[in-house]
Amino acid sequence: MAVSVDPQAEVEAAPVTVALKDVVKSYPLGKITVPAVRGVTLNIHKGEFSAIAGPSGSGKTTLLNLIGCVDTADSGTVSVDGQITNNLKEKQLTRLRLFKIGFIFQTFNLISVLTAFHNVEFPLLLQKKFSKDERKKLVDEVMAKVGLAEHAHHRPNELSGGQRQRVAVARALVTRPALVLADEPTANLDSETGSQIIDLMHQINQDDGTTFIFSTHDQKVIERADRVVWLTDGRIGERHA
Amino acid sequence: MILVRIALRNLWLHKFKTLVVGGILLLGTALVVVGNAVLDRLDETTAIAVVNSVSGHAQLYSADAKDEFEIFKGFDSSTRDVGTIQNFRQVRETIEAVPGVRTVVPMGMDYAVVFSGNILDVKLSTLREYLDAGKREEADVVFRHVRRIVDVLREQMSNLHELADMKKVMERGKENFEALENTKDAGFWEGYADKPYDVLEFLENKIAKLALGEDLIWLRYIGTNTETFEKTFDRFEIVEGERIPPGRRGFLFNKLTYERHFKNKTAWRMDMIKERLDNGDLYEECEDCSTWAGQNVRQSASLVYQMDEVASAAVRKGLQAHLKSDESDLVKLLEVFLDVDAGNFAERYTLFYDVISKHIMLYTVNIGDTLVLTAFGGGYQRKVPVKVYGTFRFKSLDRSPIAGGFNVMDLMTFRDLYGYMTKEKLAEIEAIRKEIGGGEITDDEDDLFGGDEDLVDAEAATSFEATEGLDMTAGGERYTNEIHQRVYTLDEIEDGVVLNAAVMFEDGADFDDTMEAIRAANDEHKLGMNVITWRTAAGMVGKFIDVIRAVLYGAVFVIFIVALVIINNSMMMSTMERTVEIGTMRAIGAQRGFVRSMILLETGVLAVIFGGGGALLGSVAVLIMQNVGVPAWNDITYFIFAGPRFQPTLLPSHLIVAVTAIALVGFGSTFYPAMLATRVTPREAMAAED
Repeated sequence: MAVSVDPQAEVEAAPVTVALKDVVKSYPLGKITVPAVRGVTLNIHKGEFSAIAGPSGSGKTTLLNLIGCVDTADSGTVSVDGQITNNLKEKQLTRLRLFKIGFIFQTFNLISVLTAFHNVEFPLLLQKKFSKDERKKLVDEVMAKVGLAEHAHHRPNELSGGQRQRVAVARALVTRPALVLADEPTANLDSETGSQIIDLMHQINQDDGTTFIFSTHDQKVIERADRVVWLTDGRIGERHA
Repeated sequence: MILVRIALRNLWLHKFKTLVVGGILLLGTALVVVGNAVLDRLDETTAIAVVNSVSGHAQLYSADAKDEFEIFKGFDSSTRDVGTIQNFRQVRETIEAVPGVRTVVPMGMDYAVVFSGNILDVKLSTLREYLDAGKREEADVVFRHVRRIVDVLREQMSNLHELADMKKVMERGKENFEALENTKDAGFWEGYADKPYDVLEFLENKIAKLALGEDLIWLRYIGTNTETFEKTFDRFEIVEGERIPPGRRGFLFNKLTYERHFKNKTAWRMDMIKERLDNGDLYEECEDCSTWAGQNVRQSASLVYQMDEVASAAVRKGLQAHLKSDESDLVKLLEVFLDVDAGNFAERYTLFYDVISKHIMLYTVNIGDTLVLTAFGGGYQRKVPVKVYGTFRFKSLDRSPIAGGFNVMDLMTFRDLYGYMTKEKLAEIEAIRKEIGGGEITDDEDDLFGGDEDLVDAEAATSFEATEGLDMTAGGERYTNEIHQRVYTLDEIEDGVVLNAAVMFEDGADFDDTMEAIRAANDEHKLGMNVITWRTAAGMVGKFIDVIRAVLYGAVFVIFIVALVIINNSMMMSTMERTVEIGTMRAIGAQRGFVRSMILLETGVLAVIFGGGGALLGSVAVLIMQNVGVPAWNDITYFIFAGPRFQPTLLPSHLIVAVTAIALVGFGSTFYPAMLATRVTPREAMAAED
């Protein structure tokens, strides 16, 4: 069985943000069922900057989906910020994502017809928690943090790849989530820009203590992680950065 | 807000598609608004035209009818069997007791023929009158005119000879031509001095029928209780003369029919030109006007033909003065005079009526005259004399030949004319035949009507078939006077055959409820009537609106189906294109409802903008039509517009229908794509290779 080992005692002491226990997930592929995650037990603590690494088909995205409440486990338990997600209804899962989790995607996935500002504002609008002024304040703050205050009113197609991913980072952060999930965040960027994005995320992790989990198979990115969870054939193998 | 913003931006992103779909929606909505406003008003105006002219709200006719009853049926179907109502009084009393019903008017509608009479006929009868009265001097003037007419006639006939195959014509009309040849002989005319009646009778019997210009005119008539008819149909109004006195026999020409068929053709054409110019047409642009003027010029001789020497002299003098000409040939003067143009028409029109019209026979039948109506059917030809009391029109429908095709007469005359035969009536006639001792009663009118006054009265009132086959023009004069003086009681009017009955509702009565109540009363009292709405009774005219409506709805349906398919297709496309975007939204935390709303709202915004635009455009179009009015462009439109102009009104309901249609199309087209969009899972946002 896979065992989670983290040498950093301070992190160990931090509360657990994500807890997976004996998680199994299979996908039907035609008539057969393909196991994607075969019994994973894993704790991610608050403030960790972790990478899930592994070759293609190792189950990275599936694991990320399970952690991100985009999918639910066939067996075992997944809990996010203390909330066990296995038995939640879809609506509740969606709500959980909205309030607890920020997403960063490989292909940036901005809403093309909205400006950078409105893209970042979007989750706040869904939350319906803040007034217009409060929203503006939050958005401006996070835009400044990712260094895009100048580009707030540009549409995605007027921005470079790196700028777009910064907008995506801002969007993920604006709700101050307990957890930010990044699915291969640098795969569509050149290595320098990718590196800048990792720097940015790391900086935020350092400054605000935001928990980051990202999947990647890029060696340079893996090297930047505080902790790396290696996946092979849906199982965790141990390998330090 | 965010949804509207996304929707607007997406629509803007696909401008071309938005414009195409929006354009279709715009057109569709505008069409719905305009179409409904126009049709609703058209429905009302047609109802006004049909209901208030002759139909009433409902029509009753016998359930035994073999054919369907139709008010505006044409000549070709005039032989339809619509049965008869034998129990009209009971029908009237029962139906008038139904709540919502104001009156029940008895009717008999059919065609009769009138021989318009020619100038020779008229002159000969004048000649006879003078001779009878011993006014020899006046008679002589007329006689000279008659001789002139016959001379012209003979000339025309010999012209025909030259044109046609002599032999054939001679064979067919040998006798006629021989008769006409006789008039060449001066001795024939000199015979007038000693034996005027011999000459007169020869002319009456042999020559008059050869004169040209006699028309066989078909008249559509409504035999009715003229008193209730006038009260019931408020569009009815007397134009000239007077109404038929209550209970009397009598005939009223429809003004349009009267002008068209009984007025001197030259005068009628002058009137038509004037009407066109009064309507604002320019003479130069009025093709009909120059055609009419041309016909008048070519037929100048027909006017001269009508004038005796005194009249000719007067007209010649007047025209010479006006035209500043010393031409003595009246035909040539008239040819110049009638060749009107834009500049001189008004003046010559006035002059025509001042100088010429009083010297010609302006109408072949005058108000106050006795008209002889002829009807055919049942193997008999029936001639019934009836006094012409005047002319009438249906207000604001006076130019429509559809409403203008009806002439009105009393029920008694109708029954004489229609000659409805039942077994018992036939038996009655047989009895009368035996009584007067003849198989055929065609030549014994004097026996029948000259002798016994009581018999005349009795037969006229109850057994109209007594006049079967009789020619009353000459010998029946006394009978004619007799029946014209008679005042019939309501019982007499109502206790006899009618063909149909018009039912007029009270103002404000609910149409469907009243129809229902009438049908119920009909069943309950076993009246044996078919009860039909004015719309059914009006036949094609009534269906006209339905046809247009069907066409409009068909067009709107096609437009909206096209819009529906296009919108559906494009929303499917855009949903699929935006799978990742939708998945992202879902991942970030958007609920399914949000996605559904987003897709629906996109069509919603499209519908609001373009549907609203279409509704606005349609409303403006209707309001313009309402204020300016659409002029009737032909006889049918004149009728269904119930007047010269059509002004539709815009009602909230027209907009509601349009908005509903748009909403249905919008929702219908986007429902499925929206449902598909909600099925997009957040996983779709994860594009990783797993």
